[in-house]
Amino acid sequence: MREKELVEYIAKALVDNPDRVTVKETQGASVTVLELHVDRDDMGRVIGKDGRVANAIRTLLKVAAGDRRVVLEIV
Amino acid sequence: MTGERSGEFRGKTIEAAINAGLMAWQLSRAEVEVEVIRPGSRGVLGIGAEDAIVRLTEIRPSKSQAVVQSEPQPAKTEKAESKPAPEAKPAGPKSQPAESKAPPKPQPKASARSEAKSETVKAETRPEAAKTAGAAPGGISAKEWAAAELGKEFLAGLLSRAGLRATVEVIAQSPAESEEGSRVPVLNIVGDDLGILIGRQNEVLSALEFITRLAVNQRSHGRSQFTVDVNGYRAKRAESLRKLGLRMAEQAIQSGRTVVLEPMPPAERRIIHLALRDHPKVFTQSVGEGDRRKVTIVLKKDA
Repeated sequence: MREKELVEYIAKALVDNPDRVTVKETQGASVTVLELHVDRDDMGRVIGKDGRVANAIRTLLKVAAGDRRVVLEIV
Repeated sequence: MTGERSGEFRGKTIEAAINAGLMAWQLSRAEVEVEVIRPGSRGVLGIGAEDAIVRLTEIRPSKSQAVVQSEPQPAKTEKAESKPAPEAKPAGPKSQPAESKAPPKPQPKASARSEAKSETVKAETRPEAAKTAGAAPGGISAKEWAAAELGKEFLAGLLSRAGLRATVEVIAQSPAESEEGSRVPVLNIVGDDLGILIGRQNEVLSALEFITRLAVNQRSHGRSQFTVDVNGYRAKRAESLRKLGLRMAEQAIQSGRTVVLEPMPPAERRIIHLALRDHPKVFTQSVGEGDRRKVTIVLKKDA
């Protein structure tokens, strides 16, 4: 839950259209999958050159998640 | 550095380079002459970027400023003054001083504003200054602090959502971390057991800094210069890296061989490069790719 809020918070701060940011959370047996949706025009902002932004978000997500596994997908 | 008041400063943009110098010297824009040595280029998302270099020369040193300069932590006073509401943009790229667009909350107050005005006047009379002043209006160093305050708000929100108990303070960068005098604000995260925020090769710290800068830039439409630290880790690390560099240089000289250091992230390699930049007998060079990149300390041939 915390991870979902975290991703939402970060994504909203980076995009031009924060209203269009949504995160869908799917709990698996061992993995939590977070699907980040943003406006088409904002894709570049949450992915970044060579995925730098996406990877930075994943790094921070790992800190928040501790031992649990969380996967971030940007769709 | 306090003796002669003229020096070169670097930054991602001309504006940032000037800001760095002004912050280091605690001067307002009106008190220095600016000469652009290299305009620099931004690259794309920081890739392929080349730093801008400017030479600043103080115009009229005065005693009252000397007092301000010797104050070890400009952060404290500036912070109190420019305490912006999160929605308050640091003064935007207009030539109007802060008050015209400031929200009802107290933005940089009297002193900063008068600086802003005199700077605008100065900019109009000096062509090369005017070029950069277009992008850098009212109270330049106050602007950097304002950006840092924005970053602090964002970072605090991020940390609480990550489930961490920590506070964020805005302080001035330590000398070991920065090039001669070109200090930037540091968002220092304070709390217990925050080693997790540093990570292997500063991975987490770098991610925090990267995201926080992006968030601030998105808000202020500028390029912010602050760094992010955890319990003064970078500051301490910078000092020990500087010492390591000097020790290894000594070793290179003694052994007559090139010394290769452990792989380090860019910010740390930079500290070694800076520490040995003016060394008479060795020079430094980074070799390797990605996170295997490391500094080598090489003997100068003619030394």
